[in-house]
This record gives sequence, C-alpha cells and structure tokens, in this order.
Amino acid sequence: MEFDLEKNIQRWLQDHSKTGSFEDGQLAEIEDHLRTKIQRTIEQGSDEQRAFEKAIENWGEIGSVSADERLVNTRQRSHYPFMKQLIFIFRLFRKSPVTTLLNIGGLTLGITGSLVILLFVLKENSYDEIHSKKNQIFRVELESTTPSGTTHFVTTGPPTGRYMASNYDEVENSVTIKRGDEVLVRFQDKAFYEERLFYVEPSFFEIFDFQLKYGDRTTALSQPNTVVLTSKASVKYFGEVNPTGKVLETGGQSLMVTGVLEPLPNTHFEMDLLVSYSSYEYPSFGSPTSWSWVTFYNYVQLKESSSKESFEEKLPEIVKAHFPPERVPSIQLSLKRIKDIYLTPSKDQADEIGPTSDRFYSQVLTFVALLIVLVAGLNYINLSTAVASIRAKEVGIKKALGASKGSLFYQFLLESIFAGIVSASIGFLLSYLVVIQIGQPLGLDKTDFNYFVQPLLLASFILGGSTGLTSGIYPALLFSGVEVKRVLLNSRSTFGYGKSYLRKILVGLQYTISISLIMVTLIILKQINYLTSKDLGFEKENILVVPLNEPAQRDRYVTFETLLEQLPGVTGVAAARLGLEGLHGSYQFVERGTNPGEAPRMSIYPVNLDFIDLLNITHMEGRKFIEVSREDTLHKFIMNESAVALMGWDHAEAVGKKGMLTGQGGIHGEIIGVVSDFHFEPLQNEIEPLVLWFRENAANYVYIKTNGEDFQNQIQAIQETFATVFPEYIFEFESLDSRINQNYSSDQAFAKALSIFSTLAILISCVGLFGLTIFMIQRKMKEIGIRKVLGAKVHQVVLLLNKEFLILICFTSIIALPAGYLGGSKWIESFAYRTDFGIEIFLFAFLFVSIITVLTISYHTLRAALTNPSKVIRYE
Amino acid sequence: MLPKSLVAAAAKPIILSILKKGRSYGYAIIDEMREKSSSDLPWAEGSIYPVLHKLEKNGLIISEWSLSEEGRNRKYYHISEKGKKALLAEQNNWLKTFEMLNRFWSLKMDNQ
Repeated sequence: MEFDLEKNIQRWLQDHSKTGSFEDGQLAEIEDHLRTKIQRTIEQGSDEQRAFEKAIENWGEIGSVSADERLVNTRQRSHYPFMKQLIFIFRLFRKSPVTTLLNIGGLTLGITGSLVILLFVLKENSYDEIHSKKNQIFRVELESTTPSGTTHFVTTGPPTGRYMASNYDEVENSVTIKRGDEVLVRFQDKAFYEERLFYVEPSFFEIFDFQLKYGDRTTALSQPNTVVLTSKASVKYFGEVNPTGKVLETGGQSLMVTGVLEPLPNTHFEMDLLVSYSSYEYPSFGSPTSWSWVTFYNYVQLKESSSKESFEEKLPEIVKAHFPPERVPSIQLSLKRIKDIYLTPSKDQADEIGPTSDRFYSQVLTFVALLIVLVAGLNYINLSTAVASIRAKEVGIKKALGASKGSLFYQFLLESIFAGIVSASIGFLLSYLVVIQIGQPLGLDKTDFNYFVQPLLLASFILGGSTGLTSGIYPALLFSGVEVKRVLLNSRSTFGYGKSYLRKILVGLQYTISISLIMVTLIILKQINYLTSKDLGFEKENILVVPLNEPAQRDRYVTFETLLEQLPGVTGVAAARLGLEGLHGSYQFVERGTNPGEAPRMSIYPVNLDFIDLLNITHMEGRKFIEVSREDTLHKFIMNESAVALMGWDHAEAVGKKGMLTGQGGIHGEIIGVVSDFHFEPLQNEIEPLVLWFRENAANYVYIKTNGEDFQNQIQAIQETFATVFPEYIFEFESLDSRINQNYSSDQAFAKALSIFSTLAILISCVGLFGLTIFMIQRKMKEIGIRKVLGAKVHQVVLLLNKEFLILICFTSIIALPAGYLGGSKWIESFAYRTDFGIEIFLFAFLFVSIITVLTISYHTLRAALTNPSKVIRYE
Repeated sequence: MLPKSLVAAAAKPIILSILKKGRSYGYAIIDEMREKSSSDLPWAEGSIYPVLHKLEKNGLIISEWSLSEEGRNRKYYHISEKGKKALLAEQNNWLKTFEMLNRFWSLKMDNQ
C-alpha cells in the first residue's frame, strides 16, 4: 500500500489534539515543526515515509509532550484560582440544571420577599426623615382623663406653642396649625372640595424643611389671605404653570398663591393647602387664648442643648397655670417626637393630621422576612446535602488528586456564596417587578423603589452573600470532610444519608414555619371577614352618604329631602352631623342637680328626625324624636344602652331625665328614649356611651336608603336632584358600607400582604420539598425496584415514601400549633370585638401542608414506582 | 549524555540566548541547540514547545505568526525586555553555580 504522507500527518496531529492539552494555535505550530522536519529530511534524500517516521521519532512521545504542555497551560490558569472556581461552578450549574434551579430558585424567592419587606420597612421608617431638626421637633399632645376613660388628643389649645416658645428657654421655636373645615375652593371654572386645608404660622418653614418649588419660604405665609399649595394641588387648579400671584376663592375669602411646595416627601402631614395663619377667623365660641379648645396642632422645636425629658418635667406647671384648678389633675401634656408620629396608630388617639401606620406592621413583617430567609437558607442546606452522595465522588477524586481540605471547603463555600449572589441579582430585579405589580397592599410603588434603590441593592447583595455564606458552611464542612476511601470504593455511597436526622430537623423547621404562617394568616383573614360582615347594630347596606359641606347647602336640606323621597327606588332619607366612620365629638353629660366636675363624658351624635329609623337602630324604651320634635324648647336626647348603664339607670328610669351637655355654652335637654348599642366606632373600640342629639339642621351628611335595584340609574337620579337643588356645588357620594370598611383598610391591606408572604414561604418550602423528593427517590430507585419485584403494589410504594414526611409534619405541628395560635391571638388582641377561632384553623393549615407534600412526593414516587424494576435494578 | 533534569533547567537560558540574537521558531531553535550541544542534550524535539509556551506566558519571549519561506504559517519568537533581564540573571546564576562547584572541586583536589 502506498504511503499517504498527508493522512499520516493529520492522524498524528489528531493524536495530539485528543490529549486536550494544547490550546488554539499550538497544534498549528506543531504541524509546522513536523512539516519542516519532513521537508529537510526529504531534501537530504529520504522518501516521504522514512522522513515522516524520522520526524515523529525525533519528536518524542506524544504523551510526555502533552503532559508538559498541560502543566504549562493549567499552571497559567491557576494564577486566577477564583476565576477557575467560577468556571467550575458554571460547569456545575450547566451539568445539573435541576439542582441549580431549585437551589437558586429557592434563594431567589426568599431574597425577593425579603427585599419587598425591607422596602416597606425602609419606607415606614423614612417618614419625617427629611427635617434637619427632626430630633428637636416635638408635637405637644394632651391626655384628658374623665370617669368614662382617657382620651389622648394630638391637639392642644391655640396659645400652647407660642406660650412655650416665649416663656421657656428650652424652646427655640414653635408653630401652630389649625385644620380648616372642608370647603369649596375655586379658580375660574375649576372647583374642588378641600378637606386638607390648614392654617399655619409662618414659622412652619423655619421648623420644617419642606422645600418650595415656587415662592419664597421666608415670606410665603407672612401675609393674611395667602396660600401655599402642594404641587399636586397646584397642578389640579393651575396645570403645570407657576401659579404664584393667582387668586383662589373659598367661601368669602380670596387667597393669593404665594408658593408651591416640591412634591411631598414621606411625612405625617397630609396637606393640600397651607393658608397663612393670619387669615384664620376665630369662631364665636373659640378664643385664641383658650387652653381648653383642644383642636390646634402645636409643634415646638427644642434647643439642641435641651432634652425632651427635661422640658417634659416643666409641662405640669404649664397645665397648672392655664387650666381650671378642678381639671388640672385630669390633664396631662406630653411631647411626641416628630419621627414617632407616623408610627403611632391613629386608633389610639383622636384627630391625627394625616394617615398613620403602626410599628407593629414593620415588626411583624421583619419577622416574616427573617422566617422567609431562614426557610430559603434551610432549603439550600437541605438540597446541597441531599446531592451529597452524587457529589461525594467528585470530592473524593479531587482529594485523591491532592486537593486539600481547606481548598475544598473554600470551593463549596464559594459555590454557595456564588449561588447567593446570583439569587440576589435575580431577586433584586424580581422585587422591582413585585413592587410595581402587587405592591399596592403595602402602599408601595415604583417611586418608593427608585427612592430606596441604593439601600435595596446593597441589602440584596449582603443578603445574598450572607445567606449563601451561612447556608454554605454546613455543606462545605460536610464535603471537605469526605473520606476518600469510603466514597471511591462504594459505587453508591451512603455518604450524607446517615445525617438524615439533621435533614429531618431542617425540613421540620420549614414545616413549622409554614404551618404557623398559614395559621396566622387565616386568623387575620377570619378577623377581617368578621369585622366587615359583623352586625353593627344598624343597617349599612344600600345606603348612600352624600355630604353637604356648606352651611348654605344645609339650609336647602328639606327641599333636597323632599325631592329625593319622590325618586323611584329611594326608600328613605335622613341626615346627621357626622358620617358614621368613627369621627365624633364628646361632651360631659351633667344630670340636673349633680356636680358637673364628676359628670361622665359621652360621644355626641347630632342627628335629624329620621336617622334612627332609617338605619334600623333598635328603639328600646321611651319615645322617638319624631314624636316629640315640636314639643318644647328643651333639647331632645336619646341615649344608647351603654350611656344609660354608665349613668347607673335602667332603661325606663332614664326616660324623662333632664340634664346638660357641656359644650357650646351648655345644651340643656331631656332624655326621651333609649336605643340599643350600635357600633358607631370602628370595631377596634368598645361601644362607648353615646348621646343622639336631635338637631333639625344636622345635615352635614345625607343618608339615602335605596332598594338596591338598578343602582346606576338611582345614582344618576340622585345626582340630577342634587344638581337641581345645589346647582353651584359638586355632587359627591359614597356608600355607607365602604365608608365603614375604610376603617379596616390598613388591616385588610396588611392581611393581604401577609398572605402573599406566607404563600411565598410555603412556595419556597415546596421548592425544597420538590428537590428533596427527587434526590430521595433517586437514591431509593433500587429499593423501590426490589419491593416491586417482591410483589409490592404501586400504592404501597407511594405510601411508604409519603409516610416518612407525614410523620414529620405531625411532629412539627406540635410546635406550629401554639406558635401560630399565639401569633394570631396577638394580632386580634388589638380589636375590642374578635372572631373566635378554633381547631379548624390549625386543621386547615395542617391539611394544606400535608396535601401539598403528598402531591409533591407522590408525583415523583409514582414515576419511580411505575418504572420497570428490571431497569433500575440492573442500573444499580 | 546529560541527565534530563539538568537539561530541563538549562533549557531556559539556552532558548533565551538563542533568541537574544534575533527572532526564531521552534524547529530552528532545537536545530541550533542540537548543533551547539553535539549529543549532550537528550531532548525529544517536541519537548521544546512546552518550554517555549511557558516562557511566553511568563512574558520572557513574545510570539507572532508570519509566513515562512516555504509558504506556511509559522510562529516566530523573539525575546522581550523582561526576557533579557531574566537571561542576565540566569547567566549570573549559572556562572555562580559553576564557580561554586569549581571551588569545591578545587578544594577537594588540594586536600588530596
């Protein structure tokens, strides 16, 4: 056969290439060498075959050259051990995508959840953070104790702030703020009702750091009849132009715009219009020097050198100097740090200036975030150790090749930290999506995310790195301690499996957390459902509430009522001073002939003739307003059962009693009847003593009852009637039901958020369980095969594997039951009226987790059990 | 014939010395080595490449591809500044070793 030089050269090159030691270009260099050698030999007179043979003979052994070459090339890479590890990790991820997906997926979900919670906590704690003097600014608050209880006012009398600033060295500055009544504000053809109009002193801008987009901070509020708008309000009236110098009309006043605020940062103030304090007209019943007219917000700025505590010590002497001696013991002034205002729940106090939150929410969610991270970390440990038997061989070989224990520990730790960081990156992006998609129950949106993007980014990597680090330590220790002989000699080592009790503890912990979280969520949901569906003692369905904000409107109430009653579908119309959403005033009720000093305080509800009947409040004793309305000049009162009980009367005894309500110079009247207790306040509070006071002109809110059919047309008809009677005003309405439910909106939002996070924790646990089952079954393939050969049925095999986990769930329930119960009870403690819950909550959580577990396990087990046993046994 | 370990140690200064005179390529280098060392270097030709690659990766020599007289692509090497310094150091070390050994052996001879 003729010698083919080219073919032989190629074959020889292929032999080199097969060793895998040569990098690109190196083979070409070798080829050039060989060809040069052959050419020279041929030139010396040899034939091709001889020349080739001589060339490869001189070349030396392929094996030894390639071994040297490998050494050169790998030694080069080992200058970057970190990169080498990363490349290894990437290969690992590519090789076992399921493990990687489960590991990273679990961590990612955990980090996403925690980041969203972190954003919430950051936002909650950022309120009033912008003020440079935030540590020196305090609001003066007042606590008043009467026999019927203690009321905490966030407001004080009008002179409070100025008096403190001019008489006490500790106080550097003060600002007094008065909330204006809801009023119609006009600019040309644009008119809106403004609820958040405040009269503020010019020092407002000296104390607070709110910035102006237009106008001058130092002079903006110094003149009467001037107004500063928030940027939102400005856009509403004037669009995007600079409105300074333009004039808004309100009632009888003209207000010139002197400034526009920059968009408001997170602050406890909820305001739209800031009118100069000098524009405020004191009503006839109020005096600027009255300390008892507790409706003004007073903020003081203490000097840097003085402390809250030292100034608070002086407050009793202020009380003593300015309140009537008999009231001094029951009045207490206090200071609240501006940073604490937002996080003090408003249900504990009256008349907050804007919406507040509750520190409790942040605390609970922070705890939940920790649980979620814990679950994700446990998952990682579980899954990493579960693949131990598969990876043990890799470790064994590395060790046999001379890897040290330290370098292996480092490798596995790096692997988990890397997984953590990858999860952090994905988690960060995911948390953004979560916030913009479903951030609403937590009050979060894109703006918040952008505002806190830096701390969030930092947190995600710290979280990813540290979760990776801590959850990697155990697997790293486990792997680096592998005994070479043990793992290399057994084809399927039991390595790692012996530690399964530890894995059971870890899985158990996850179950405990999941079951408890489900329980707490269920309890909260049940309570919220109870709150919104509880019989409040009056009818709230199919009732529309239409506010009449202006006195001029209220004068036309009777016309409005008459026209409404003629509308088809309208079954009744009534009116009251208040809107039943929890706001009301309180006066003392002084029985005729008793000492006013000890008279109990009662909530006051001015209502018209038809109010009690329209709302179906049960009349228990005496007469109704309608029967006595025109009898005499005495005012007419109807008390609720609690009020009668507080007075120490029985129902019959109460009727006919005469007395006086303190307030407005004393309202003398007669009790004509008793109604049953109804919930005129949110269910966080007990039903308080209440006096319904008949006022013909109490028409701030019109209550319209309809038959509930054809809602759209009814609204339309009511709106048309409104337009006929009040052509110059704007029609607003709300259903009574939704007004009342607003009291629970923050609880509802929180419950929603908590259920999302609980679901997340459960989801992560499921991911873990899913992975764990895969590995467990991989290891038990042979066992399953043999059992089947020996005659076991598929369902027996499935049962066998489920049993292990179900026993575990039973055990963990012993811890989860009290934990979930305590968590749930703690939550509903804050409500005066609570739903009762029993074992069904626990059973549901237990069954839910069990079913998910059984489904996950059975899915894999069935697949395994249906495999032909001959395959798996032979495979083994 | 020199032992392999010694040859391996000498390879670096030898290659650097050859390249100091001008650029060259694998086959020519080994050819020159063989020529200058008669049969003292028991080297397989292939063994030079790992050494060349190592020197290159350590930055002592620099390679470039260009067209050979035969019309093939050929990788040429030339010495870098770092390589020149390394060669000086190598020369120094070898001379010192040589002097040191010489001294030992001279002493020995004196004692005898």
